Amino acid sequence: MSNLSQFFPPGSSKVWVSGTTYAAGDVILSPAANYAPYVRITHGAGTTDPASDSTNYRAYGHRIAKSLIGNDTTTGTDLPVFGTGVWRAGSDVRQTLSGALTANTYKTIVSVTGQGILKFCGVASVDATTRTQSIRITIDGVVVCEKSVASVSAINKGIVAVGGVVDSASVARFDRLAFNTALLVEVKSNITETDKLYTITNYEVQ
Amino acid sequence: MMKYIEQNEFGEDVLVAVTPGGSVIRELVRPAIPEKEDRRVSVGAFFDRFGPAKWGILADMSPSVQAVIKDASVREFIDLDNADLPAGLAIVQAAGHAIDPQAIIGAEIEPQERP
Repeated sequence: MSNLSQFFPPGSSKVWVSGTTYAAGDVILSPAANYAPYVRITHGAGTTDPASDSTNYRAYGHRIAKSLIGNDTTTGTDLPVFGTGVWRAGSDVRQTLSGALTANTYKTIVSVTGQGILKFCGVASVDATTRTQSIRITIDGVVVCEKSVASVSAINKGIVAVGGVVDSASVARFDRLAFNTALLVEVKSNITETDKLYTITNYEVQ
Repeated sequence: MMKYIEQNEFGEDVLVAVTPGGSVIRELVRPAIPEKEDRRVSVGAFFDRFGPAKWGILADMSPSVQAVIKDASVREFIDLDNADLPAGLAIVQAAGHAIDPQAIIGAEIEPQERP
């Protein structure tokens, strides 16, 4: 615990310096990973930043997501249907039309500079025109999720990028995807069109 | 929190909000028109909405009430927003059955009532 105590309070942490000897249990901040903390698991020195040295370091504490692993549906046949229940009053999600979209070009719907949590994010069609929908989520400058689904041809069918939907009741299930410095939500269609996609989002800024 | 509107490259409004903590939020301002709620219920669920009066209504052989019952029974579902529905319920009520048309039409639809 003595090694952990040197990590708290703030200001007492060590920034990793190449060639310096660290004891097992030391918590070191990685310059290569925005000073995220890593714990040394062996005694010794090295010239590789902790973020790239899994032999001698393990990530310490919570990390911001770098990739979301989930359903990678690629056709429009088994997508969730965003029924009216998703945005019924009190469901606390925001529905926003896409505005003008240029074919195959991402457009920003939400942009946040700061810290927060993305709890729900999805995109769906306003009409039954057959199109390819895409949504891209960027967290702290890293694209953590990009989903494209072809041949979507039904109103309210779409992609859930963060969170989930219980189809039978059209109920949104929230996730908690943290961001430290920035959040970006973008959508695109394979058609140049206006207000034919909509996003559903819920997030908090801290 | 400071808020103002700016335009994106399409000339659309983007709401910019600056929080006391210094976070800057930019959201496209394009609220979707709320979709009309699906207010369809199954025929059985519709009759259940008559409450204790249900059996008396179904057993009522008067031509006007029977017309309402038959009209409802042949349908796959009952749309509670159907403009003809209040008139049908008024016929049942006029026949002496203690129903509350406003409650039958206006009550929130439970999942098990869906067709």
